[in-house]
Amino acid sequence: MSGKGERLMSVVQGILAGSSARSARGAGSGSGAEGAEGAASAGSGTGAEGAGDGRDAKGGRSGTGGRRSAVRVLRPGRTPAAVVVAAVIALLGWVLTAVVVAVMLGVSPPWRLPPRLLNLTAADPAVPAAAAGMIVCGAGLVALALVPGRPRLVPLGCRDPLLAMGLTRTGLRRTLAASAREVEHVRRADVHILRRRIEVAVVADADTTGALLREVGAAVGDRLAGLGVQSRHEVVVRLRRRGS
Amino acid sequence: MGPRWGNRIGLCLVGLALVAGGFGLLSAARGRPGAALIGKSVVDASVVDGKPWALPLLAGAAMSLALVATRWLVLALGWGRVGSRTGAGIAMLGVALKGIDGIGRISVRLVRDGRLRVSVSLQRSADLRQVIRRLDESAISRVRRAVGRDDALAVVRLHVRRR
Repeated sequence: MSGKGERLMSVVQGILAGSSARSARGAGSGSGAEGAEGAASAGSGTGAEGAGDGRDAKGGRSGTGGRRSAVRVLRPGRTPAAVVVAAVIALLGWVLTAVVVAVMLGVSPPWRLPPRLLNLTAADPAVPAAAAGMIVCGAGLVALALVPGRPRLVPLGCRDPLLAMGLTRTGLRRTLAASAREVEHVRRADVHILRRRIEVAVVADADTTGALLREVGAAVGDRLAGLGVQSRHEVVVRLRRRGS
Repeated sequence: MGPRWGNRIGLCLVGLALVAGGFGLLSAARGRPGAALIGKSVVDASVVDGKPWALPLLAGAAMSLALVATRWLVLALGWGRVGSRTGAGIAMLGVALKGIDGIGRISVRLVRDGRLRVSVSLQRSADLRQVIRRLDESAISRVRRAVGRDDALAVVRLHVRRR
């Protein structure tokens, strides 16, 4: 079963969500007014942006400005780091205030600095180490502040400019797995959402190879495009077939 | 619709201060290798003997730093960001999403700064695409009107449950 028997066929399809969106919308155009409108707008979007860049098929509908602002709103707020840093600074500030006020009133504080710290000279090897630690921590905090970070929620495209919609990562994983499972002969599908890639591992019970992978990739890409997921993910489908 | 910059600005300032302090400490140690790091006059508070304004100034600075940091801490912990549930908004969202199967829990919160936080959790069987379209096209604007803030920025969190 596992190990040798499990043959791992990996096909990097590089299905860009938009390129399969065209086919999906084209297929759905006969079903009703909504489908027709979707196909038309997708066509205009790709026409405006050129056939090569099909990723942003939403471009025709909401524009890249909407995408960017949604991503910006959903960006991580660095709350844990901020809480820790603010707590440390607040504690230090209040302690310093208490000490200074105690000195002003002539009351000796209940504790004194340890003699080891008082006898510390600048030649002590601990000083450069402490300085280096401060620099590293400071650089880390600056990096945390400047790096945008990846959003907690996967942004979804919408027409309303005052609306930022996001789907949880788990939610996206489940819905993509469900869409892959709807393909015939797929017994199990696991989806992993990485930084730049969405990996779909499929366990199939048929002797088909390429066709199945393409089908799964198209299904996942169509679902991504249908939901209007505003991300630059590449879809990678792996076939994990049970041993012959 | 602007992102929240507060935490990032604070972190950036603290980080820059740490880096500057680290370099300052290094250069000070390099300049006077034999000197004690914490002078005798600082320990017995004789450094402020001739300057009666020094201690109150220091106390004031320390206290304002502490107050600012405390305020930051409180805000970072989510004060004023969680908001309060609005029954009218939840009811309107429920009405607006009527007819879609598999809606789990919905919540609408009104945040003090004028945002509307909407959270919808769906069952696996729900048609996510339909929910998104309905939210985008009609539901959110109806909720806005029901809550009485016609141009509020709405942030929607969608989740799909395991079953």
